[in-house]
Amino acid sequence: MKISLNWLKDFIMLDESSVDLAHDLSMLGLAVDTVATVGPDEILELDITANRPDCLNHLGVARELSVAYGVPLRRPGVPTAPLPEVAAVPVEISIAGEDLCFRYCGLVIDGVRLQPSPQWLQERLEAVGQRPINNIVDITNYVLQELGHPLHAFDFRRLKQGRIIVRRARRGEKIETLDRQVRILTEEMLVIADAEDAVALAGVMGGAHSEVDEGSTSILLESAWFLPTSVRKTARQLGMNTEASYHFERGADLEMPPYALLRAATLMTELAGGEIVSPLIDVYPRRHQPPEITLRANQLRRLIGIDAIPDFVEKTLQRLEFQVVGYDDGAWRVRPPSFRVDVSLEADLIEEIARFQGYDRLPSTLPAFAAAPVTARLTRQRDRLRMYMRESGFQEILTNSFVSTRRDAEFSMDNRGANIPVDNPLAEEEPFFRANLLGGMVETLKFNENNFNQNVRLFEIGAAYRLEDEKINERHRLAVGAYGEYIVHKWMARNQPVDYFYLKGVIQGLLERLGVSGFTLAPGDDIAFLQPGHAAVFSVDGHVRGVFGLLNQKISRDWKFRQDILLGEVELNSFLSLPEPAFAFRHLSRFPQVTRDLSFTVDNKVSFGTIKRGLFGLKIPEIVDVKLLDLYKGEDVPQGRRALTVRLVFQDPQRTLTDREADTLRDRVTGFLVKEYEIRFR
Amino acid sequence: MRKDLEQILVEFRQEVERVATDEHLKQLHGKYFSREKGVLSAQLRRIREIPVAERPGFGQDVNLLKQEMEAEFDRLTRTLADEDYHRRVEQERLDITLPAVGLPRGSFHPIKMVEQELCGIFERMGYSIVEGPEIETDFYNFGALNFPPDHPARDEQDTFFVAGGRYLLRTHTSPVQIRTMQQLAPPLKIIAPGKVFRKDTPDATHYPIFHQIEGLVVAENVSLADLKGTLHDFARQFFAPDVRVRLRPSFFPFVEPGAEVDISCIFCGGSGCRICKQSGWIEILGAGMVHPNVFVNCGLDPEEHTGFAFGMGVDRMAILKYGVPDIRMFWENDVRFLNQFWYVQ
Repeated sequence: MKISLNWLKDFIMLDESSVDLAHDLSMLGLAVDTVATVGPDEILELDITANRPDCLNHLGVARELSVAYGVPLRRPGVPTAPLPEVAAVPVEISIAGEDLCFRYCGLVIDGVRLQPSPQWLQERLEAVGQRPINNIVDITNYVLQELGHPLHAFDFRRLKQGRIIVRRARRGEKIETLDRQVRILTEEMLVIADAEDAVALAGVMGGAHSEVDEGSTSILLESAWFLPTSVRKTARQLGMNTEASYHFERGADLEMPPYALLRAATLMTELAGGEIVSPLIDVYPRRHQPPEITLRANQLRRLIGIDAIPDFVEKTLQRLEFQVVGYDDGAWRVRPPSFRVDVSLEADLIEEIARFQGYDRLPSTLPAFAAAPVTARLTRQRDRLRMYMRESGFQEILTNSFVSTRRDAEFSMDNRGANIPVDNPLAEEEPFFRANLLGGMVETLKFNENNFNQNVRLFEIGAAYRLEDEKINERHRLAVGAYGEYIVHKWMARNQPVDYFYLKGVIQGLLERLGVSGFTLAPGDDIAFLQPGHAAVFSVDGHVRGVFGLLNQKISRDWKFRQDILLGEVELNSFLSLPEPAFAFRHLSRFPQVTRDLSFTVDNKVSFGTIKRGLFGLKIPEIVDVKLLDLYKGEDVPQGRRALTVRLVFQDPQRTLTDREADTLRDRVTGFLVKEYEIRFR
Repeated sequence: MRKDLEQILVEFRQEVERVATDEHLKQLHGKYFSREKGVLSAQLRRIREIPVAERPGFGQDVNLLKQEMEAEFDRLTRTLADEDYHRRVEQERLDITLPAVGLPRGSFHPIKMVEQELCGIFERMGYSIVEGPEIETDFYNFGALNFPPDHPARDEQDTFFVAGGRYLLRTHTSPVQIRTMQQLAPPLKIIAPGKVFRKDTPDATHYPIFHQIEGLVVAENVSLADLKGTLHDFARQFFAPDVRVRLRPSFFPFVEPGAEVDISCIFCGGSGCRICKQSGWIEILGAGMVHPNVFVNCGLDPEEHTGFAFGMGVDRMAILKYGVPDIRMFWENDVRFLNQFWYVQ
């Protein structure tokens, strides 16, 4: 909000420069964003937090400064002459919804003449960003800027039977508001009504029918207090946000209505030629009951780390218009003023003391205790994975959590659960929260290809969410994507393009890093976004944990990719929460390895993995590795078969194997292979 | 040495002078050192023709000849090898400016890098890392954090609601405070990094997703002074050793007293520039003492415990630290952008 320096000086003597004022206000918690010179005045733009509605006006800001600088505060005057005891006109005010309206003050002014406000008033309003309209409206706005209390002026002749009833709206009741919109109301909304109809939305906006205009001479001035949550709900439901609702929903001062009313009425008699023709009608069913708060000196020390001087504490609170009711046994009993809606607890009082002591004058220490380490294994494991991916040459990316279902589902490795819809999405085409990471990955790969970036390898680790059995299911996932070459040495023709086996190596290393010793692969022909024959689904302990392979060529064509795209996604939760694998040093074998190579042909349907699993399944302890040396499919290999050269690696941890022992082991293996897989030696 | 033997040595030396190739060298070796046909073997065999009295002298001279010749031959071998080596060096000389093998360079995302650095600073101060879900309930995101229903404080954080209003996307990492205090008994020293979501239309300084790090310390007697010292320590480590820190009163529903925390501008040193809007200060985080209602909402007695909490935007820190002009670049993931951060990892 805008604060005029000249206007402030109505209430307080100030010698400080605007720059010093801005600093001091900021250090009191009234953050000053900018200071601007406007003609002879200077305007401070304040960022008032939601807890301080009392500072949304000039008097409130002046009060803070008066306490900080120790100078007196002068309040604007109100009439001292007595008001009429009996109304010259029939006027009656009642509250039917006292749970939503604690107080309603009204007063009638006759003989006003609607005209532009005097120059000085117009200038003041303009200085704080208000557009002058006419003297009556301007005066209500002026008092709002000055005292922070929203007022409303009705054309009194338009109020049927001269009555004001504060009540809940009838269901479907309509009102045309000042902005010429017809509003349809609900029973929860509070309205100001005359004998028949709603004439204003309480605390939000007046009605068009009772608007003050050129023909108005008699005015009913309203100064009331409405329940913040009620005003807020009404304004939100109707999509309105007015100056009045802004103040009321933060909490107006329950003791302010008569004073603000008299202040405005005085200005109207002075500037609009009016005459007060009614007593001040004050309907006040729910009185302000200030809480009594205990402020303990030792709690003050405990929370802000200083011993405050008792005299300073007392004086500060009193200058802030808190009532210090008593002091005994190192504790004050304090009642906050009605305008301090933010103060209800001891901690609130402690903040007041800290504010005026100055946060910058508090000591600076460090907590003197140690806490038990509780970092989750998931966090550590994920960081190790990120490290692994980086070491493997992948670049970490962050992608949008908001997705279209089509895109998200297109790159889903399983189709469990449903996407979680965002009720109020920012972009209509991205109305869901992501359940998978690969959609964002593919988009990022495409973005980079379009930017002519070559040889790209990316990964992302993040949470994805699904609705499963009406419950939110959170899963941490890893997505990898790559295209181009992972070793580039063009002029020596030693390029290595990324392919299925490259990605397999990355995934395999990742699982090893997680302490997963074995996984099984199945063909990924059912994964719609991967290319049949170039895709794998991998499982650990019988559970599917991820997929990887070549992007389906049809999809690749639709996306207009110009090269092969490799993709993989791993579901991490089950790994990340595994207990730390028991690790113990193992002695290195001092005895040499012995190798035997076998060259044979085998049916295409027998995979290398099957053979390898079969060999380890023999449980021959001396077999420490089975390596593939060569794979060949050519004219001299019978149709439907392929030729493999496999190296068997034998080792005994206790002794050197003799050639004869190695031959015996080899013979056992070949016997098994011939019997089990019908291999034929070449 | 006997004359005839000396003559052999002279001839040998003359021949050595003429050797230029390895082939030549081999021939020379055969001629003089071959066991069957070599000159040396022939001389040794002569011993039977020598009178007995002269034999010891002859033997010594032949041995001397052998040593001389072997030494000469070794020198020759080494010289030839050296010549060969120098020839090869010239032949095999590389153009060392030809392009290197392009090896993969992995990198962390700049925001995650900054997140890690921030977490690391607090971990060294004895904090543990705790995480919470991105999809939250109203209770954890607002209610338990002392945001009353229908309070304007909620407006500051424009919220995405999901699944028909049953859940929301957390607008800050503060819900982790609640989850932690519900699950773990004080004393506590935790930080909670993570993604948060606010309904902001993307522009150079806004993106609907960003990252925060929440800090929470709870013990019997923790004070605002401890918060000041902690944040000062942190700022010195993260920004610069001479950075100044200032706390200003502010409002967050879940702390009281509350504070906004500024550092002296790291671009102008506090004299005023475009980035600090001439104020000399840059706002970096919000903080305060844990509100008594928050303790109560977590089942803790505010008489027994005090605590402080703080929350900072990681993306903002990354922008400050690296001078990235547009926050959306973090989400495009152009590898040319990501590559720039490689050397600071």
